[in-house]
Amino acid sequence: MARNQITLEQYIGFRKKKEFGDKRNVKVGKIVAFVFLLLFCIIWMSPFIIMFFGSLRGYSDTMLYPKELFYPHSGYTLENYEMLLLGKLPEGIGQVNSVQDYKIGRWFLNSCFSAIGGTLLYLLVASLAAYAFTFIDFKYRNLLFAIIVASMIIPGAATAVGNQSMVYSMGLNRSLLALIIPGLGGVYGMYLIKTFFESIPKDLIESAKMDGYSNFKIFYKIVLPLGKTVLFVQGLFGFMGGWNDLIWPQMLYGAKDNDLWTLQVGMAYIINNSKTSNLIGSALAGGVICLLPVLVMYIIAQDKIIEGMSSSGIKG
Amino acid sequence: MVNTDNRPVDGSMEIPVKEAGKILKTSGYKIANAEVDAFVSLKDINKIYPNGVQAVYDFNIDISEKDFIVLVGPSGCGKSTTLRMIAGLEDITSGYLYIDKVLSNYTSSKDRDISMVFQNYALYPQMTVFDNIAFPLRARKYKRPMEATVSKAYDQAVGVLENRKEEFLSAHKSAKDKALNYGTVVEYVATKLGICDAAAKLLCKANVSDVEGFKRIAKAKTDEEKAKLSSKGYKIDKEYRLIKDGEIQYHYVKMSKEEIRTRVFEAAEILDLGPYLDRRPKELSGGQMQRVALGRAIVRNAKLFLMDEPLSNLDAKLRVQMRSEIVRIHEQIGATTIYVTHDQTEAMTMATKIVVMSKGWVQQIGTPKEIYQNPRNIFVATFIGSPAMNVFDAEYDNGKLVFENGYEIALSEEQIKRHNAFYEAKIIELNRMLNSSDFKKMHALKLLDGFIYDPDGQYEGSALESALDEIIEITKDTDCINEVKAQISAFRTQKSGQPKADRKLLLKIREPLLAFEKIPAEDIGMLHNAQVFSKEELVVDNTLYYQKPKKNKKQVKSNVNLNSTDVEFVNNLYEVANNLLERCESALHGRHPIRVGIRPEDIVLDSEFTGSKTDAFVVTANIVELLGSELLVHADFAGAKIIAKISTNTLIKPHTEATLAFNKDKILIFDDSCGDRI
Repeated sequence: MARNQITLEQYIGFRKKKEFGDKRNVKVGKIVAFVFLLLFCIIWMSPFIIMFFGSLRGYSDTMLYPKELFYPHSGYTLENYEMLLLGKLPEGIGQVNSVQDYKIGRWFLNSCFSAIGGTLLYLLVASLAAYAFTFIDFKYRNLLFAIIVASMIIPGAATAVGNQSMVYSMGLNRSLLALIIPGLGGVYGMYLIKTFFESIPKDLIESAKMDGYSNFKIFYKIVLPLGKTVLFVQGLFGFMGGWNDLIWPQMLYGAKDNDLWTLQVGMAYIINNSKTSNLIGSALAGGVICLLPVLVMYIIAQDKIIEGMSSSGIKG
Repeated sequence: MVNTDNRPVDGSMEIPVKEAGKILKTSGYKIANAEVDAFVSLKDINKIYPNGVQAVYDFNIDISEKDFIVLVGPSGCGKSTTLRMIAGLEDITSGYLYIDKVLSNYTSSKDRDISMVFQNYALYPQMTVFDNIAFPLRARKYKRPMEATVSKAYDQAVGVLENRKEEFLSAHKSAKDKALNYGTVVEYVATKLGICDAAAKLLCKANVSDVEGFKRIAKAKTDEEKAKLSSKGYKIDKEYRLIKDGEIQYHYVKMSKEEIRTRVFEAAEILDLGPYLDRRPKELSGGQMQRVALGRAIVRNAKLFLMDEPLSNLDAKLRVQMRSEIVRIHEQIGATTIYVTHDQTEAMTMATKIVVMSKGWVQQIGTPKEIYQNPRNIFVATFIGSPAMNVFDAEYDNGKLVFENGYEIALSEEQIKRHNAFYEAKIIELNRMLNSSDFKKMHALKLLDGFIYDPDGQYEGSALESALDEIIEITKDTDCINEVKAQISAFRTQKSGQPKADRKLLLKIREPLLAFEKIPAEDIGMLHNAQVFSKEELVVDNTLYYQKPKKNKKQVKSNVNLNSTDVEFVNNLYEVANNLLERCESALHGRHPIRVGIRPEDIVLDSEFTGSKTDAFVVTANIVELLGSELLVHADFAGAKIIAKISTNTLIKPHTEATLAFNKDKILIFDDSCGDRI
């Protein structure tokens, strides 16, 4: 075949392609999607970006926003962080009307205790309850479960006062345990875990029972290893919920000794104290400090979260 | 943990209530019944689910040791429920279950010493094959002699260092070369040298070049333990067992790792699983997973194996292979097996005894040969055998079978005699049934219901009055006559002419009639078959009765009295029995419909067969299937499809005519109204 000749078949294919322009269409679609995603990404990211760069500006630059968002004319500084973490006020800032000291380290530990301890304890309680509701046949099981699930419709705010008086009457009004205990009765996580447990073939449990294993051993040896993805997901949700919770610790300790505050309560106090324009930087720095652990956690666990969310059931 | 050594006590012994608890406790909650001889015995087992569906009716079977019992039936016939009841995964509603002569209704499944193979294998996906098989062994504690463990370990280690040092070094090196972790190295060495794990651990830690030093340490440690034990009064014999007062001392301990290993390896040997022990179930094929499931069942040496359709997830070829494998394993380990399947081929090839079930009723129990050659009714006959038995509608006319197309078969003297005897026996039985008080009550109920559920009933008039008189007449021998009389006279005096109020009064007459006594299970079974297998159109519902949901009382799961008012009848049993009686009576005189069954292999080519046969007939072969050594010929005959199995000596082509005949000795005749074989 000569060099610049093509067969009719090839020509038809070529013309069809040109007519329908399949390549170009795909490109346009992709670009549109990309633009949209980028747009939303920027919208979602912008508060964080503003927060991060804002926290690095000195008190004298705070008003030059948004003009000098990324390049403050007096350069980057860590004075906001110093103020929060070390209690060192920058020179010439004037009066700061803070009544209580900032105890970021202490609050951080409190938050860790409430979020990590609460999550682990909740996982234990919820998975045991889910096991019982799935695999043990006891009287009024379904009725009990229906009641428990029905309690989900009551908003948390409505039960907060009751919880508070219960915790106080238990004598926990100066204990960090009060942050954890009411949350152990949460239904959502239990429901999630139960749904997953239901996908475990019942034969596995029956077979182990016939071999002579007790319920606790079956739970520990079979159900927990199989359900670790859902436990992981629920653990992450629990951690984030515990970390970000403001209302409950504020209710308990907001008016009390600031040794018991969590990071979120402290953060609220910092923001409250930073209403004058030159202190906005410190509020933003507080936000960065609160955000960091959750962000790190999420980046580490990102793969597992997606895996846990998408894994639906196991093969028998 | 229940002490497994206690002897069961006799359950029929009469004892005061207060002592019962104590006696039970001392016997480890084991009750035996002196009358039970069989290894596993089911007596009148019933299963009613909480929603009122009855899955199993009056299941009776005695299973002797080393039997291979197959429960077979179409899906939903209650066979799996029965198995699960034996396993203890499902409550038994009523009846008695004895396993190894111990009443096991209320023992939990782990105390019954049973192992089960599930349909989808129930392998633990997160464990290796080894762990899966070892899993049952790790559950409980076993009775083992107490041992001087330290002395044993040191003595074995010293023995190895003195005599077999090279062997140890090479084993240790090869384990290290395989890059195993420490625990596995120890186990590898222990298995290679045949010593206990503790000794292997000592050897792996020891400085091998300094044998004398090791010996010194060993002597010190051994002496220390001996002194400690002798201060407690124990002596040590040659096998390191502890002896106190001249007796070997036992204790309950978890099975040691060495023992688990040897037992798992044994099971793996039997099942050819050696190369797969460190894989996970995900990495196995279906047949291998099936074998692992079997291995988990056999490793525990349980008394009784239960298998719940273990082969139905495999492909056809593998199924045939595993079938013989299971039979081989059954013979090799000599356990008793109960096997559930819906596949009649599996039942025929594997069983020593088959139980055919349909809709919760046991239809026949027998050896495969018995079931095949002497099926008790039309269900068993058509269910067993492949291809299925040909069944034709025919008429019985004074010793002749007349088919729809006029084809006739003359019956022999003996067959005619049997026919008459069958119907006479049936009539006697039905009359006995109808004369029992429960059926009288049902008769009365039928009369009464005719008025109550009459849509434009006026609840007065001579018809009703005479019916009420008749009810008194019918029920005069039963225990409820006084109440019935009282209610009827109340109705007669209080009736007001308003339909609603009168209806209420009539319904009150119904109440005493509903209190049934015991209706024998065989009677209900017979009537059930008459409903299910008869061709009449008057059959409304196949289920004869179901459990009434109680409205006010709490539902008691474990103890339901079947024969009281808990049960509501869907069909009136009197009606069913009466119908049957009428048809049986008419069968003794003149023509009556009948069903004729003949197996495909008993339809023969007229020209080839020389035994006693019927007259030849000609059919047109619609489809001819060649199955290697034989032909399956499908054709139409006497208004039904006929399949004949013929050897390939004569080739029959499709759409040609073939001259066939029946093997006269193999013709089976079934009653049309209740399906029983005559």
